[in-house]
Amino acid sequence: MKYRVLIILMLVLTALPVMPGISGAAVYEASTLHNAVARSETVMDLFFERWERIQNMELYFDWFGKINWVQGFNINAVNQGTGQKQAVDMRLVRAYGSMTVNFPVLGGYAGTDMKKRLQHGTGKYSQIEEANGLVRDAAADTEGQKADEGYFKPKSLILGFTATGFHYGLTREGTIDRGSAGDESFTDYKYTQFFDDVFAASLLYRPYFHIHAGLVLSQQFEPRDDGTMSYADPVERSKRYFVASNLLSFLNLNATTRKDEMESLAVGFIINEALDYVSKKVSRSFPQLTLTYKQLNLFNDRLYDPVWVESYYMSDGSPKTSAMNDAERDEAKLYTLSAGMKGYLGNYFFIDLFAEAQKPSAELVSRVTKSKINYAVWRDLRALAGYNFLGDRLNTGSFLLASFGFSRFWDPAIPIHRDSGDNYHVWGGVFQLEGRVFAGSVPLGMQFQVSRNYSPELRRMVETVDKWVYEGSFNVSF
Amino acid sequence: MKRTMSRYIAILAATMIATVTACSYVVDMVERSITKRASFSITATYSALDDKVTITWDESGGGNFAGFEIYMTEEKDDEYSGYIIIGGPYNSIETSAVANYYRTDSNLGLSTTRSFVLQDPELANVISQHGVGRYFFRVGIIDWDENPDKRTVANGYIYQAPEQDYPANTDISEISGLAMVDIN
Repeated sequence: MKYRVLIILMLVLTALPVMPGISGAAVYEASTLHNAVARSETVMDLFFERWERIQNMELYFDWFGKINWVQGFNINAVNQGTGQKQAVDMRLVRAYGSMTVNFPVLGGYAGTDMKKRLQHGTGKYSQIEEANGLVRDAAADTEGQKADEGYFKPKSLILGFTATGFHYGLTREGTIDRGSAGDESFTDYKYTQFFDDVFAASLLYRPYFHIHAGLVLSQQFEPRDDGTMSYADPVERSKRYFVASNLLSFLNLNATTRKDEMESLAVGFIINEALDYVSKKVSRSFPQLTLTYKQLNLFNDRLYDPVWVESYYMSDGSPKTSAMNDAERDEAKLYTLSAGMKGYLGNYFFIDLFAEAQKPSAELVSRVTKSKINYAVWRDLRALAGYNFLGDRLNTGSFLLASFGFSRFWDPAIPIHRDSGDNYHVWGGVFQLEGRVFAGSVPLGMQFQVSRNYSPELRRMVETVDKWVYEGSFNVSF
Repeated sequence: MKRTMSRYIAILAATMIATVTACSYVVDMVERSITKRASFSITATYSALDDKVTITWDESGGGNFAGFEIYMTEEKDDEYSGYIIIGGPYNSIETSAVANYYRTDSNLGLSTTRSFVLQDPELANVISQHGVGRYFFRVGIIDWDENPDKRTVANGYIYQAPEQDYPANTDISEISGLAMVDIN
């Protein structure tokens, strides 16, 4: 009974609607899902997204769950009744969970109560706030501590462990007439199921640096013909190792490796935090400005890539096929440079602006048209604006933010998955409601989002182009 | 100091175990509970000699177990057809829509039961109305929606009798994957 109540509560809290989707593409073709490089990027982005929140709120414990259902995948699936293929409506499930536990080895965050920590502002280590008499002298906080403690005598050393996991896969819903007990529905696993996990250890020597290191484990499972699946026998498994660090709060360095090869590298610069070292009263009241450079070994002539690298032909002049051996495969990196501005303007208005330029390291050829792709300069452009209905309570940690946004996203896989048209870019939009309330001192966060072709969703999975996406999430942290 | 260190080591170990389990499998388990994903396998065999279909499974019910239910596709040769109930523990489940196919088997009210047989006259009714062909079967594990101490009139158990309270107060807790049978 308690179990059922918990499930119902989650459903209500996350307001997950099972709504009919707009009719989808004629045939589903996986691409991003089968690209483990792209998937590891996705799960790492979610890991960083969570840790950004953990750092901002100064959390010792964070549990986060998100369920995302995309309707309208019409699949040409075999009907075991006839042995023939037919269009079958399926649902794409993306479920994400994360749990972090931080231990204060020495010292810890300021304040013992979450609300008190939030009263400092957003809980930043050396935040200057005047609310409720919690005035702190920034110079004393920073310079004084440095003088007293020295870099090698930390008074705030925190050790953390995080497990972050993502499941993607198609499911089909069926119905049952239980006689006088009414109708119920059930679901079956269909086609390959993908499970990606991050296991990480973190060390926070605040405010001088923090470092995460860990493992990204990507697994694929094939469901049985009866719709069930066992976690015991993955058909494919790959491991990646990553390290992510932040120096002096403003310089991020992240790298992921696989089989002794660096697969991705990112360098980020948080302008506000850098300015904080120059003038401590300027940076905090402005939305966070970031600059990020990334390189990712995204293209490798694998089965589900939307492009061939360099040429449609192999060195012997014959056309490339997905079955060719590894020696014949070409690889290319994608370089990106992005700028973002995100945060509150005052207590009521929120903005999130993002622009990302791109350049591949080699020529890319469309697998559909067999011709060279003119890679657009801008990969992702988006703007989101929101209003916080609880602006007067933001300093105590509560908020209710309603936001609208739009985006333009470019990707070589878009023409493959879109319902109509052959452009490599799509315009999209999003509406989201996000809030945080307190149960005693424990913050409970909720978010509901509906989007279509919104770039953050397409970055996670380009197969969702031209489909409505409904998402609910819930988190508990303290 | 030694005790403090031991405590930290214990907490760290517990945390590491906890974090290892809080991964993609956990969120999948939550999602599949919400959407009632097929979670165990069954077998179904047709005997032309005896003219019956035998469905078997290995799962038991849980603490709020109310019974097993057996389902069959409404249409032949269609894996994606809807399912109707053909077997359950009580007569109260039967409606006019399933009357020709439904059979009450009180053994399905026992958690230890592991099989069900579809035979005449219900099997003959299936064949006469839908014809011979390929059919799909599933087994549902049904739970009461309240713990024993909460099965009160106020909570909807108005008859205080399992047979009468069953239709309005039970849900599918687990459902099997499909089992395919060619009925000739």
